Amino acid sequence: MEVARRRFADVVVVAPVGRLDHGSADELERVLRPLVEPSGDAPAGLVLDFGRVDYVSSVGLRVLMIAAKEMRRRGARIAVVGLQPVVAEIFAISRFHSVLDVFDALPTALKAISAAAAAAYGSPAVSTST
Amino acid sequence: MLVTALALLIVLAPRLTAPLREAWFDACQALSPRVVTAMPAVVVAIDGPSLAAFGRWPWPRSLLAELVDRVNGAGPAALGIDILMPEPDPLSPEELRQWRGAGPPARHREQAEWPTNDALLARALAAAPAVLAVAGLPERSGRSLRSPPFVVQDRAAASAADGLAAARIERFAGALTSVDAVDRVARGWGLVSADPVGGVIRRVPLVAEIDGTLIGALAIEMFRVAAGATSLRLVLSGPTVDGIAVGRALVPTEADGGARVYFSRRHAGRFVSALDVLEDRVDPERLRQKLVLVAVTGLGLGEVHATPVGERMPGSEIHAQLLENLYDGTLLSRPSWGPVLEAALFALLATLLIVATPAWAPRHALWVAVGGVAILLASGYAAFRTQRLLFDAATPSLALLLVFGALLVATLAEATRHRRSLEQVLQRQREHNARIAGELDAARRIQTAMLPRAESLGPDRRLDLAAAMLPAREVGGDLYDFFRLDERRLFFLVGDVAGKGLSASIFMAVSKALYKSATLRMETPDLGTLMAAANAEVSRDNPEALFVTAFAAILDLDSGTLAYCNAGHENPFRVDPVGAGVLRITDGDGPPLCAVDAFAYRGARLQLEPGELLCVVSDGVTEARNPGGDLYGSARLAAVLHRGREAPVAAGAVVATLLADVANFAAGAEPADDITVLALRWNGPSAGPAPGQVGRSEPVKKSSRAGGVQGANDATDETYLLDRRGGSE
Repeated sequence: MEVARRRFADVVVVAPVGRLDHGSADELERVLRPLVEPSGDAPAGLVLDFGRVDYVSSVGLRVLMIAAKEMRRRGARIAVVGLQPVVAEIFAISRFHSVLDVFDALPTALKAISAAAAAAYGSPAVSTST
Repeated sequence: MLVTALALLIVLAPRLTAPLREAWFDACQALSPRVVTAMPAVVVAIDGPSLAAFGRWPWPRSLLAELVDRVNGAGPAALGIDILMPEPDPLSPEELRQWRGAGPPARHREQAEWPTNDALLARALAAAPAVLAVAGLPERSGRSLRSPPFVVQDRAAASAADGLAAARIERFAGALTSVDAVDRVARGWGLVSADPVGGVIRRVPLVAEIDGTLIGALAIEMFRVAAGATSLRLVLSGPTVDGIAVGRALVPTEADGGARVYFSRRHAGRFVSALDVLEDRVDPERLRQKLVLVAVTGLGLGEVHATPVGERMPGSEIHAQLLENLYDGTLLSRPSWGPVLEAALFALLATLLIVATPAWAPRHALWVAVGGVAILLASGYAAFRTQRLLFDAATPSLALLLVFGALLVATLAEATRHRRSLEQVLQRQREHNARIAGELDAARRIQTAMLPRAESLGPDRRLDLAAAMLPAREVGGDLYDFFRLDERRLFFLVGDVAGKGLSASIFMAVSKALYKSATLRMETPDLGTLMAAANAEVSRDNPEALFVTAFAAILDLDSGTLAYCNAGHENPFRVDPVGAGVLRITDGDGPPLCAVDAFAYRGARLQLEPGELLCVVSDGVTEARNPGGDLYGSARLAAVLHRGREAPVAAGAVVATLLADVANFAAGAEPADDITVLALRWNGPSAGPAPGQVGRSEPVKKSSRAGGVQGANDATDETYLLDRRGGSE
């Protein structure tokens, strides 16, 4: 699974591509683990951009749940944005909007999580690729 | 290591490899014997017919003298007498006188005037270019050895004497010569000794030292006499004999002064019968200017030796063949650098083989070995055919094959070891798989066995319930449960542990037990409270961070009120036979269990109509895929339920139809997740449980379907039959 990462100030945006199921959940979990675990460099917010995710299985949901629990435990925010209809339905069925915040688009999520990140998103020069 | 050892062996231990080497040289000669082009030597053979005509051997030397005279009359270049006459002729008249005793005095006088036979022979020999035979003895004989002057020339050392002393030429302590009277008249004296090795004559010493005196071979001496040379010259390079010079011609020898005869096959043309010579039946031209040998060949007399060409030959023919070799320069030679070249070639090919074997297929390595041997044998044979060089191809070949064998064994051992380790890995893998399969089997059995059977509810006219769970290839985490809280209330649950395999199924088992205990502990269960309690219980011990979706409900069988809570589960379906058709229950919901700690679940309620069907499935149904990757989806599910709405069927039939439709859609594609279907029809608050039937656990309807579709209904023939059976008990 292809996973792109970007950072806007204190928020990291992770954008997986494709199906999030048995075959790719481990990969996403590997990407997320260092971001969600408490450390000096850990981001204050994590946004999962699911704009290019076609499908999320229960195994994929589990990865999101683990990330959400870790983030909540250290008082950080986690959100998912850009759900495609199929994924949105899966989220609705699983009631995952109770597990993590769901926003329609990235700017909205950044604004909700961190003013600094929203500002960084507004000025491309500050955004850095990680 | 092996290569070095074998190479050193070839160079340093020629004796060890001699049998093989000589066998190869013999094979070369047998395969390609010398072709006779000229016959400079003739053997005057005292053969069977001669002995038959003139009496048995030994002949009186007067007769030998006559033979010598007749041969000499033809004008030979040299006349070699391959007969040793160490004692005076016992048939000589004076000898006869001595042991026959006295005769008439006149006869004595007459006889006394006769010359002795030895004298007659001496007179004949003196007139001829005669060369007499000398044999070397291992002990001193006391006889005086005659020999032409031998000049020793050393090309390397300052002192020829030192070289000679160091040379490994054949040495004898004593000589066996003919009687002095005969011996002294000869012009040459040649050695006739030759040691057969393994019974085969291959080499003849061309020079030897007898008690400090150098002497040439009979053939060399005949050559010298024929050439009219007065001396021989031994050419040395230090301790190595290079050859013997006769006049200006140098006969090359091996280091010890020996020469290898290149044998032709036997040839009758070399022989002239002594009988024919004595009876004057031989054209003098046969003997003119020839190197003539007089020898005894009669049966049982004289030596006969095996030769490399595979034929046994009398010593005289071997001398004749040596003379032919000397005449046309066809002696074989074993170069002193031979062993070094052989060892080097072997080392080269062996190294190639060693480098090649691990890299190439064994078949190719075999070709290298076979090719190496072929090259060795071919070049060895070619050297023999064209240059008369004795190049030992056999020993390096054998050594090469030995190396190949060792490599083969090593490779084989390596391959065997590799195969064994592979087998071990495979075995471990099998054991591992078997263990996992065993665990999975056990887990599956446990999982299936834990699921309640519909008949455990007992016959109840208000209710028709059926449920089935088909595990995916690996055990999954689907669960369903139903049990009565009391006469009025039925609890049921469908859940799905996110994840797969053993941990999910165990987590499912734990969840189910926790649920049940939490439900039963409550006096008046509220579904929201129940779900929150279950969430707390299940989350407490969840090391793998799994989560469970669950739809839990309590149905009041009298009122048709359904209290429920949905923790992240697929929304259940409602099929109202008279109302709006297929609906989904979407409220009373919250996140899956374990997903959010201490989530405040809130339940919801709804009122069922009599005859209304509830269908709760796991996502294994809606997310079943066909080989094309399409999802089964909730729309297909709703369509199936809708068809059932037209003519309401038993819950068991609903489950079976739905499972069949999913299987038909998947068209053989491996299910990725467990498939669970629970169907429940509320028939309305009718008569209540049939008297005496409640709580009985008789099977009502048993499906043969794997995974266990169980149905309980009170509107079928089966129930009727059961009722009768129940009544008969």
